[in-house]
Amino acid sequence: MSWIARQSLALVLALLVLQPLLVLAERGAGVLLDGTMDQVLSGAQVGVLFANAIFLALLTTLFAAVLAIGVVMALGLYRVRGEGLWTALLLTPLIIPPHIHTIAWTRVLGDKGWLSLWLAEQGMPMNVRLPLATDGLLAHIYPGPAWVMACSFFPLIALPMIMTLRRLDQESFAALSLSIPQRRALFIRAKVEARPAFFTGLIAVFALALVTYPVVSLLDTPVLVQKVYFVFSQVDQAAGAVLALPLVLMAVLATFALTRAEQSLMAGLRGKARPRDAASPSAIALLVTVLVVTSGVPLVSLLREAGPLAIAGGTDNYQSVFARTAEAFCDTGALLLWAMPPLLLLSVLAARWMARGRVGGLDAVATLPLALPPVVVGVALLLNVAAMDSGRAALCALLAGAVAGLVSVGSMRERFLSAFVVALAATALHWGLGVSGLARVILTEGPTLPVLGWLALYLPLCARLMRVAYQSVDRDGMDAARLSGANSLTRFRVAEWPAVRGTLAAVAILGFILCMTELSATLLLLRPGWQFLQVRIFNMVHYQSAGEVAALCVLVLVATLLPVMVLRLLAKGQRA
Amino acid sequence: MLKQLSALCLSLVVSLCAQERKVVVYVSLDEEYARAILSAFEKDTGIKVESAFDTEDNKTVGMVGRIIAERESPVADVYWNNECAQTIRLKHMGLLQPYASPSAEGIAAKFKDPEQYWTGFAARARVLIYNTQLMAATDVPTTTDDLTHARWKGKIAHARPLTGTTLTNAGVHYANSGVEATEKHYRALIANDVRFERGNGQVARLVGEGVIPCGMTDTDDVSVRQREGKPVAMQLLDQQGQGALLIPNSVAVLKGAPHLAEAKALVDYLLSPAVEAQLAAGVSAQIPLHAGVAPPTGIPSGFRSMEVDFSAAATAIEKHRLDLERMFGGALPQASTEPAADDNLVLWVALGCLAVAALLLVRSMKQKQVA
Repeated sequence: MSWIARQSLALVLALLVLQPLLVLAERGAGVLLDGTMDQVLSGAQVGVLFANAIFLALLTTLFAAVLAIGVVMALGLYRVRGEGLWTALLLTPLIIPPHIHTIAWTRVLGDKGWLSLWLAEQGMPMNVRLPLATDGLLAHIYPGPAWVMACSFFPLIALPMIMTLRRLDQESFAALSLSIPQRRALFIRAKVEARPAFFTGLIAVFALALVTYPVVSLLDTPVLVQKVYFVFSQVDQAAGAVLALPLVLMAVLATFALTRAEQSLMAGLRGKARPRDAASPSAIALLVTVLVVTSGVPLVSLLREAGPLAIAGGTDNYQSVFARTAEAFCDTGALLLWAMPPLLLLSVLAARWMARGRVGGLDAVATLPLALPPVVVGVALLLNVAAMDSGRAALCALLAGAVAGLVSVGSMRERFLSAFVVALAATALHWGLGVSGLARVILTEGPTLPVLGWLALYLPLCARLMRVAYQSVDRDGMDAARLSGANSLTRFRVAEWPAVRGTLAAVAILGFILCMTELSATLLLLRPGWQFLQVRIFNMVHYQSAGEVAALCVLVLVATLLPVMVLRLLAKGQRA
Repeated sequence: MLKQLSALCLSLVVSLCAQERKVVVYVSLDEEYARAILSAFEKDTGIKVESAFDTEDNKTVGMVGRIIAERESPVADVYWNNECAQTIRLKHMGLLQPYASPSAEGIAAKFKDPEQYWTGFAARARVLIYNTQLMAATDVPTTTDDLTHARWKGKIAHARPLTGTTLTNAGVHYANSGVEATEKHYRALIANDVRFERGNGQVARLVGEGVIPCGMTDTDDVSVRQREGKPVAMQLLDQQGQGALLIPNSVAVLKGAPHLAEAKALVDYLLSPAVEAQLAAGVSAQIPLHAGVAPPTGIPSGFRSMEVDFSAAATAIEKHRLDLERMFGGALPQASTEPAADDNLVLWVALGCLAVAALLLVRSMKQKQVA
């Protein structure tokens, strides 16, 4: 990658990630000094809320692990007919956003949910919102939200485990099979080799459960992230972000552990697929049960609530809600059209660079938002926009540029030159856009702000996935092409594209799903005049009829699935 | 494909640069009700409306927080609030500019700011919603104090007084009855096992579904559930005493509004009798403040309404917001407004555990690397 391309990437990361965080840090220091935080901390039970959040995340992880193991038994260890379809079905819980999971589960286990009513008749009252009886304890345990989040996130544990187990080290397995029964040998190897994937998934679920806002908001679960949003809107935006510090600390730890586990996970995914025995009926029954419970039950509840289609005329819930939200569908499509090209382009650029192995500090900068709750990223971007015209923001741009430049290259001399150039460029860009008023137009009136939020949140994940593809590019072939005089475009077409296009398609699908289902940051970043479907659902759930909300949820799921299927077909067509 | 993309980019650039007439409005009224009005304004005037809406969790205070955060470079022109205490808070902070709309002439002075920083319109009353299948009309509480009576223990739902009209209600309580009486009332509600919910909509939903027999909410929430066919009715409180609390929507032009002329046009439109009539006839059944506009069906006309000094209520909210948060902002409603002394201990213990976990994690990773 050329020097200019590298510095451009550093500049983008400086303005996208570092500058907003520096502005937030500056404002955060302000609220710590002026006593606002004292007021917040002397308010309601911050410690209890944090403890509740930890309990909730732990319970979610436990539930998710149990669900994942049920699926892994069939799809990872054994062979099942229609494996592709089952694996695709396993993605369904991830495609259903957590707030739609919540809405669906309240229809099942809510105050008047059909399962709650049945359980109440059996003398076992249960409600998805209520805590377990924990008299005498300061903190509370909420199994309902934990279950909903586990249903949503368990594929994060299951999928990497399945991929790893399908590539068990054949030689070790064969050697072990000589001394002990084959079935036991399989479990012993599986336990050893799937451990990194298992722990990576556990950490990811734990971190997500800690910071996912829509579920705890809709179920009214008193945890810290709820309080963060409350303080953000009621007291002070920066104070909300400061209050999120324990969550940030946890997320940083999780990201640290995830990046550490990444290498062993990747090593496990590189082997060749092994031949597997056919799964037993009980394993298949377990797989079907988990999928039915986690995706089937919520989907059927939504379809039931939405009511039948008015095929013979008249108006059904789908028609009436679509008529009211057609503009939101258009806006959401436009927002995604704005977001996807830069997300993919930046992912490719960052991945090309990371794949060279000299990533250093800029890798950490790019990964930073992964370690931040979406609310913090959202607040940082909002504060940055609010302070756009100020000298403080310009100073933050200068600092951000200097830091990004400093960590973007290897040698000491180059570092200072790079820091100088990127800092200058960042300040000039910030100043130029700020003075001309263009920044204001772009950031406050267009769709840019939520798009920037999504970029900051999902670039690390997409870039890291693309890096795996770039690491498989034939370096010798590239060098040979260079020596034979092929230009960079030809080299890309001949050597890079065939190696990365599959992953690029997968990243495009993942990026689309992530952006389409994001709510926590979009809730804060959506500008006047723009609508986003998930936000609309989140608001409608409070005052719209349950049938119409369910119908909108179903329509949004269809709208998410359709482009995913089109992208998959396009990717298949390319491969063919 | 390339051509289409270029056309898309060009149209986006053009749309960004074009100087069209528009107004940016922040709205705290429920999105579904406000959108219809704003669309009608767009059609009537040709002025494009860009609107942002509060979420139910942050009702009114969310938008107020946003306006405060944007005070250095305002984005919005108009704030349409579904109550008025938070609008007065903005006035006190110097974030509004006065505007005497000609459309406000028919509205009573008590619903307008004497300095013309804001104007009230289309009100809602705080009422009790009850499920007619679970509670007979004769068994329903008739006064605010009844809510604390043992007869209705565990039978009442109430939104937490931290946002929206419930917060305004708390402010009015503080302003009218004083600190001691208000806190005593809330403590009594907690002791009477009142179920505290996030919002009035949720309270009305629970009553409509028969989860709980009755709850405090606003007239619009009752109307929505009635139109859904739920077996609910409303009870106006304190009709023999101080009267029911009537809370108007309020509209104000923000200081430094980037589109001032359009903002004034929108304010004029919102304050017109036609809009009040539309809001009265709509699902939200808002009570018109212009004389001569037909009231909504289902709400008794001529009921006794409370005499309120909204400015004093707004001041009381500012003064006692933290007390309310101590009582209702935590894990469970607390009967005390004192800071929880042992709470920080839990925080530090939790953080300590985290630090130990982090150290163990790093140590195990290092050991693995060495191995």
